Parts: sequence; structure tokens; C-alpha cells
Amino acid sequence: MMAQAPAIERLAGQQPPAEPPVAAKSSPAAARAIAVAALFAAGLALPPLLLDSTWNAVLSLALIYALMGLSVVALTGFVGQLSLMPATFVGIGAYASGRLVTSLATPFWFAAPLAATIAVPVALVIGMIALRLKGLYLAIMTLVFANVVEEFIFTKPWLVGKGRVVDAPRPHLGGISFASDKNYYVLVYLIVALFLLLAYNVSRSRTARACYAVRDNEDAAQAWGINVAKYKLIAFALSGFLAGFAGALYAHWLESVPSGGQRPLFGLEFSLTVVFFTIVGGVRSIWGPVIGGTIWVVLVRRLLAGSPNGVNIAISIFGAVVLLTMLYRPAGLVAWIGDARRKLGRRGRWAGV
Amino acid sequence: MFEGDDTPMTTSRSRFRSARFLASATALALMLSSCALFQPERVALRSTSLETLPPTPLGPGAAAGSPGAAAGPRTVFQPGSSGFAGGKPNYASNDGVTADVIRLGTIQPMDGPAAQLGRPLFRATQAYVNDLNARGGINGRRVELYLQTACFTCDDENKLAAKALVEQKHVFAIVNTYMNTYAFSSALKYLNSVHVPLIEGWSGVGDENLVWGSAQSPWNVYYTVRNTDAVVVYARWLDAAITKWNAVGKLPSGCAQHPYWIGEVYLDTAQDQRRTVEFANVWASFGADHQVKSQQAVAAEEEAVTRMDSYVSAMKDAGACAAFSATNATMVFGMQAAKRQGWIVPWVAKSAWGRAATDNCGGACQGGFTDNNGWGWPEISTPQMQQYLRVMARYYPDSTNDAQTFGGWIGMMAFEYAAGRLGADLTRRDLMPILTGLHNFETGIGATINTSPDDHLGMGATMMLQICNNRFYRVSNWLSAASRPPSSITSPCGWGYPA
Amino acid sequence: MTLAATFSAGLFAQDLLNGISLGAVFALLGLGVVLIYKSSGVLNFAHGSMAMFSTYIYFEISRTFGGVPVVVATLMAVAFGALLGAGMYLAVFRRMQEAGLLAKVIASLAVAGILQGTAAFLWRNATQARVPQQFPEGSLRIGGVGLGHQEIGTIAITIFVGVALILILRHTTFGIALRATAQNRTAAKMLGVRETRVAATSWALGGGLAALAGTLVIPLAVLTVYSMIGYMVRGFVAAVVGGFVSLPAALAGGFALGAAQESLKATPLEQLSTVFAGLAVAALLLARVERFFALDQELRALQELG
Repeated sequence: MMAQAPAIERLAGQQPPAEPPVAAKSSPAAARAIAVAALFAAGLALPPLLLDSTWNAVLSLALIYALMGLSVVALTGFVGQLSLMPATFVGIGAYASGRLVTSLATPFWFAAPLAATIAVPVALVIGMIALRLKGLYLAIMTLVFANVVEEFIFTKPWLVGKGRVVDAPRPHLGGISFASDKNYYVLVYLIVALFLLLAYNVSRSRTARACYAVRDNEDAAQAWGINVAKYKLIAFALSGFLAGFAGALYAHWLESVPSGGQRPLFGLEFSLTVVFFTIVGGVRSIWGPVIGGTIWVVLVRRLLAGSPNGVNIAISIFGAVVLLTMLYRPAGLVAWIGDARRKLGRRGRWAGV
Repeated sequence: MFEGDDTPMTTSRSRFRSARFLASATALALMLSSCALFQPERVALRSTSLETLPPTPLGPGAAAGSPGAAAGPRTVFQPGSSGFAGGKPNYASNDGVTADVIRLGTIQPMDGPAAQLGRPLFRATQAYVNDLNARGGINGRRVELYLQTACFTCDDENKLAAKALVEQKHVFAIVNTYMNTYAFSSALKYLNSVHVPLIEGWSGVGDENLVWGSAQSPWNVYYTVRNTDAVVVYARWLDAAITKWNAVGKLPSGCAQHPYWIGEVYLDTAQDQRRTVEFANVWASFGADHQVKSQQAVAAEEEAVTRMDSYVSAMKDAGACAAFSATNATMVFGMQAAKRQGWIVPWVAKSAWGRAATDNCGGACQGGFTDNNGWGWPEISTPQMQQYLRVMARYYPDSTNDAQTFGGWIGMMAFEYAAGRLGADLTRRDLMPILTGLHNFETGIGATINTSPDDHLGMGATMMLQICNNRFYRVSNWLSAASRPPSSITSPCGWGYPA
Repeated sequence: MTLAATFSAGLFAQDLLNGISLGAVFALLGLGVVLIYKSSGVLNFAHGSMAMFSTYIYFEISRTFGGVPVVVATLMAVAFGALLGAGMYLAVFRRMQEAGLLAKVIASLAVAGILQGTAAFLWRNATQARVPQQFPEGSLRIGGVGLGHQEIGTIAITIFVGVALILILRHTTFGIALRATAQNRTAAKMLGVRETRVAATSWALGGGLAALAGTLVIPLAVLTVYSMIGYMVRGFVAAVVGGFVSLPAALAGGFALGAAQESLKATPLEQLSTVFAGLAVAALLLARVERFFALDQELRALQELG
């Protein structure tokens, strides 16, 4: 309806008759869409064109981490369930995808979604446990589960194979090989963008509104007739799928995934890291994990890796930044960006943009 | 969208609109980026020579695995004697090599629990490079060393560190990076695929390592004592110790009937398992009276701290009269548990060479034997050892000498030797055959190195040490699988039995 | 390769004893976590880092001032831990009283990161750091089993400290104030409880307990930046036994957890030992164990988390 706003009215500088405040207006909506498209195109094309292979690898890793963080958003941001085991589902997706491609000769294009789907029933099991536990207790439970799965399940040969590493070769499509970092970056970018778009649409759907109600006040939502259990489980399933897919992308990024046990890869530390940077970025926004993940991978772990004490210092500084964020803007860094946009002249979130 | 709160709702039509813009933008972007998308990846190696390596090693062929100083010419290498080929080169011959500079990279865990590995390795590498440059470099080229920190258990960090060194710093080779961990498998795969050499002078494991074993490549090499040789040395030593103890009646009562019954205790890792099995095979080959009565797998290092009493009791109850420990933790905590239980027996361990055994064993490790893994020993008085001590003291006055610093030094010596031989035309393809084909290579610091394309490990000999009065004593010369233990021990603790 | 897992009474008894001594450390950490949670609603992920940092201080004192008796050095490390805990509360968590659990968890993780980064930098050359035992070398053996003096001492100290804390909470003004705050913050404040003071004291006690745990257990192992994390997670489990609000349950729970975890190793179920903590937590939480310990108000308050 906005596209049909008569050109004459736009020339006259008048806004078309306003919908109730929730609707976007015509030319600002178009401008916004163009801006988004331009940014999207820039993100897709500029790194392969301008940056070297290593930076493409770094950025694709950042995007994969962002997808892991998106799974935390789906759970904690949407329905307020505090789960401290995202890396477990990442691990399931990673091992499953690698094994499917190498042992069962499945093309990556089927293996990755399949691997993500394998993570879903596990997530649902956790979800059903979550129905009985609240807040702190769920957090502790997932914490311990993360430990248990890493030591127990990620060492079992039926999952991780008989060798100590699971190979996960880069995919190819027809004649295009995604073995190079630039090509893989493009692939990861498109997939993650697709998921962000999916999450964006989901976040505006009626399902999401029910989820927000559950998040904000579970008892009230129950009183209004919302099936709390159903929406929690939906969120767990979605979260598991996202994390599993991220795991598949991660495995093929590494090309060689070691199994668990002595030196755990998908254990407690990884989980806490993902939750950490997602919260810091902003857990109620789909851009939170993108911001958090990019800062974590690029600034904290890569930028100062050339000096003996660099990463250590970066972690400490990042910790301090996080503390300040938690104290003064717990909604995360996205909220700071929102503030900045407001200060730059946007008239707040209902003002048509 | 950036509010961090509930996002505002829009109508479905405007969402459709956004989707259309998005789709056209994608198409445009794909067209723009198609130049990048379809370009073949630039490979780091700019040399036009073939990628594959010739299979035969340089120099007179030596049988693989010949231990110690076998027959044939020896190469005694002293740092500073590079310049065999002479003349200052005047053209760039390989990525990472210019007329004036050779770039080397190293990936080390500088933080976290593995810093005790990474920092000494880095120190030794950096000190060597500093000294090398002060001496004029290799054939007139100075060496630039680039460090990348990577957490020891972080696969993605290791891979990015490798990429950064190769693609951004354009290093010629990577040195002294511990490659034998599963967390490095991804990075190792990458390095092998771009044919960048990895020369490691230190590694805690030998041929039983399953990560590197299956990925063994002409492009990497590390120097450590071969497991199959080392276990023979340990077994002969334990046998000699038991014989001596038995002769003076110092074995536990009940052992007079079966003095050669032993127990093995190890960490439940692939490499320890293999070492344990090989030791057991060698032990059994000594005779029917030589029996392994108990094999105790410790699930984790944590367990070595908390539960060693149970493992030691099990060995004792099985009638064992001596113990072999496949790794340092099980010896240090095992001997403490043994002392608590009053089970005083001969112990031989692999790689318990470290401060845990002397500073903190609380006297319980007194008399125990271990080896130096084929690396150096400060009291060896060779010109190379003195040079090492001097240079390390100069650049890192507070540095201690340990397995890592010796190993790192040896790695750099091998590199300087190989690169020095090639002169002006320094290429990766020509470097590797020298490093994987070292024959009777004497560093004056560690055991003699003999490598071949099938065996990139090199060392066939090790030195036995003893923990006595809270320090290590060297109690043997270089021992290979063919050597016999000495008849007497020169340390105050003798063969280790209490007075 | 290993001997078949058979049941042996001697091994079982020895493992049980080992487990009890390990459980003492879990209990000390669990007590600290409970105190901190009761007073400020923070699930303290920095607890292990606090213990680690204080133990590094102990290391530094015993390394630099060689003449200082070990007991004095330990007490100094514990005092440092207390100051660290109080400082963390006053600097950070005091301002977060109204925040949700998630924000507090993240903040404590951030503090943990800062502590770890700082410790790794300050002691970057002290690789394989070892600290002295407080109790004399050697062990006490009875029959076929024995326990080191250090382990026996740890058990004794833990019981003593635990009982003392329980009595403090029951009979002193501070203790009553803390319990009141945990039950109903608003009512407690209206009754004149000085929330900041109560919380700061609780954090100080928690930090001191963490330091005590670290200095008692690390002499038997090696001190690295990550040494105390595994113990901290077990400490959480001990705290869960008491629903995160009961000190006696945390104390007993810690010992029980350690004993069960270790003694499993001597049974045919030894594979379960590593995951025992997880299964225990799952069982406890699913059984809604918190019902037994929390009063109605506390339960409601707990349910409003996040």
C-alpha cells in the first residue's frame, strides 16, 4: 500500500495519511529498504573484493559465531529461557554434518540442514526439562548438561567416528568450489543473511508476540490463554536448529573437527562465550549476536594476536566494556547503537523508519 | 530494529516490498562479486617449480631409524657456520624470502595453561633469531620472526593464526609450533595444503601420535625420540634397576620370588596407551619371568591428583615390584602415593623432566628415573651447549632451561643448517628434503638426528636422568635401543633404593 | 587394556575417603556461592576466578617472602579473597540489585574474564606454579586405606568453617539480616536492614571461602589460571542441593557429591563417575529440591528471575 502512494503527494512533500503509529510510511520505508539492500550488497561483495583471504576467513567465522548467537536470541530473547549450552547443539550439528558428508556421501546442501534437524529433538528434550525448571535452576541444569554431553556424547564413535578428527570438506555447487575463503565467505554470508531475514520475519509474527508475552510474564500469559509450553518448545526447536546449522557451517569452515574428551571443543567454555557475546551485543535483537560475534572474533581474538600478551589484554578490556554495558545499558550494545541513531536525528522507533 | 526491545510491527505488504528490494540487491551484488567469486584463490607459493617433493633424501642414504651414531659421515652443526653456499643472493626466490630477509612464523599459546609450553618455545626461538641476525643471518639474509598467539585448544584460532602468518605476513616457514594436538589438526591441514613447511624442534610425543601420524606430510617435521627406541631404553633401565635392588634385598617382601613383575600407570590418552602397550611387549620379550601384572589407566590429570592412591594400591596388590609411568603426572603423583603406602620400588618414567618432579614431589620422587626425551642437558659440555646457555642468558636472563627451550633451539639449528646449505636459491621445496633427510646430524645439544621420508622424527637415543635431593642428575650418556645401561650410577642416590 | 572393573572393598573405601576430601573443597565453594546468592541474587560465575586469584596471591607471598609461615600466608590470602569479594560487590553488583539474573550472570562472567586476564598477565612467567601445603607431609594410614595430612586438614577446616557459618547465620544479627533479605528484600529494608552492608559482608565471606578452598586444594595440584573452574562447577552442584539457599545442605551436599563421585570409580559403574555431577543436578532439580528449603516468599522471588 505504501508503494502506491501517489507520486504527486510525495512531490508535494506531504506524507500520505498515517496509519496508526505502528505502520511504516512510504518514502522512508523505501529509503530504508534501499539502505538495507545497499548494506547487504556491500557486506556480500566488499570483503571478497577488497580484503585478503585471511580476513575473509575471519569475517566468515564472525558470521558463523553470529548464527550461534542467534540461537541464543531465539531462546533467551524470545521466550526468556536462560540456557547455557548453545555450543552443545553447535557440536551436534558440526559432527553430524561432517560425518554425513564424509561417511555417508551426502552433499553439503542436504547434510547441513539435516545436521541442524538432528539437533532439534535434543533441543526439545532440553525444552521439556525446561518446562519444569525456572531461571536459575534451568541455567545450572544446562550448564551441567553442557559438560556431560561434551565428555560423554562427543567422545562416542557412533557420533564422531573412529578417528580422532571428523573431516568436513568444503562444498561445491556445479563448477563453483567453495574451498577458497572468499567463496566460502559469500556462502556463509548468504546463509546467515537468510537466517537473519527469517528471524526478522519471525520476530514480527504472531508467534513471536506470544513468545514475548511468555517472556515478560509467564503467569499472565498463561492467564490470557497462551499455551506457554508450546511456545517454549517452539523456541527451543528453533534455537536448536539455528545452532545446529551454525555447527555445520563451523565444521566446514574448520575442515577438520577433533572429537571431544581430553580437550573439549564444544564444551562449557564455548557455550559461555557464545552466551556472553550475544548478551553483550543485545539478546533481544537479531543484530545483537552479529555485533557481539564480530567484536569477539575480530577485535578480541584476532586483532592483537601478533603480540605476546595482546589477546590477554583484549579479553580484560572487553570484560571491562561488558561490565559497563551490564551496569548502564543491559539491553546490550545494540541499544547503544539505537541511542546513537536517535541522537543523530531519527525520531525514535515509531517515527516511520 | 536497533532498539533492543520489542520491534515494531509492519504490515505484510511493506515486508513484501522489502523482500523485493532485497532480492534485486542480491542479484546486483552477486553480479558485482562474481569477479571475486570465480577467481581462483591465489596460492601462497609463487615459485614456478613443481609442488611435489622428490622422494629421496639428500646425502648418502641411511637406513630409516638407525639409532645413535650409525656408520657413515656425521654432520656436526654449530650455529654460525651457515654460509656453505656463500655469496649474498640478489633475487627473491620464494614467498617469504627476499634478497635480504627470511620471514619465519611461530604460533604459540602465550596464555592459559599451555603458556608453560608456548612461552619457553617462543623465548628460545626469539633468542636464536636475535643471535642469528647478530652473526649476520643466513647467507646474508636476516631472519624476521612473527608471532601469533593462539589458545592451545582453540581450533579456529590456530587456523586463523596459520592463515595470518602465511597469507598476511608471507612467512617462508613456521617454526617450533606444537603441531601434535587435535586442536591443531585444522591448521595443519591448511599448512599442508599450501605447502608451507612446519619445523618443530620440540614435541612431547613420538611416532605414536595419531594426529600427526595420519597427516604426516613431506612438509612438516619434528624432532623427538622415537617411541619404539625409547621404550627399549626404559625397559632395559628398569630391568637393571630391579636387578640391583634385588641384589641388596631392597625390593618389597614377597618380591624375591618374582622381582620382575611390574605395574604400568598412564594417562588414558591415545599416545600413552600406545607407549604402555609397546613397553609391555618389550618387557615380555625379556623373558617369562618379566610380567606386567597391572596396567592402570588414569582418566585425566585431575584424577592423577585425587586418586593415585587407588591406582598404586592396585599395582601393589597385583604383586608388582616396580613401576613404569608413561608420562610425568602419573610418576610425580604416583611416587607420592607410593610413599604414603610404604610401597618403595624402582620407578622409570617417560618425560617427567620438569619442576613438578623436583620442587614439589616432597622428597617422594627421590631416586626415580626419567629421561630427557632426546633433548639437551645443560651439563653437556659442548661448544653448542655453551653457545645456547650464553645466548639465552643474554636475551632472557631469567629464563630457565627446560625441555621446551632445548627443543626450540634444536629446531632452529636444523633450520639454519638446511637453509644455509641452499644458499641463494632458498625454496621450500628444496628445504624439506634436507630436513627430512638429516643423516647423523649432531646438534651438540640433543641426540643425534636421523630422519627419512618415512620417519620425520629423527631421534633414536635419549638420556636417563634421576631425581635426587630435589634436582635432576644425568646418569647416563646417550642411550639407544642397542645400548646397555651403565653398571653404576654416579648420583648420590645410586640406583634409588633407600639406604 | 585396563583391568576389568570389579568391586573391591579396599579400593571402594579408599575412593570414598578421597571423595570426602574432594567434597570438602566442593562444600567450601558451595557455601560461598550460596552466601553470595542469598544476599544479592547473583549466580557468581567469577567464584572460581576469585579462588584462583587469591591462590596466586598465596603463591606470590610464599615465593617472595620466604620467611613467612605458611599459615600466615594462607590467612593473608583469605583476607585478600574477602577484600576481593567485598570489592566486587561494592564496585559492580551493588548497582545491579534490580537487574535480572541474566545480566548478573554476564556481569560475573565479565569479572571472571578480567580476573583471569589479569592473573595470566601478572604471572605470565610463573609457569607450573606450585604452592606449599599447610599441613605436614605424609599421611595417616589405618588398615589398608589412608589419607594425606593435607586432605584430613581440609576436611576438618571445612567442617569447622561450615558449622561456624551455620551458627552465624542462625544467631547473629548479620545472619538474621541476611536471611531476612533473602526472604523478602522490601520487608527487610523496611525493617531497617542495611542491604549494602549485609551484601558486602556476604560477598566478603564468599570471597574468603573461595580463597580458603583454593589455598587448601591447589598444593596437591598445579596452579594455572583455569585450575579452579572444574571445582567451581561442582560447587554450584553442592549449592543446588540446598536449593541455593540452604547452607547446611550445601555443606552436606558438597561432601556427598565428592564421596559419590569418587566411590563410583571403584564400582562397575565407573564410567558414570565423570558425569555424576550432571546426573545429580538433573535429578535434584527435577525433583524440585528447592521446595524443601525455600520458604514461600523465597520461592516466588526465585521464580521471578530472568
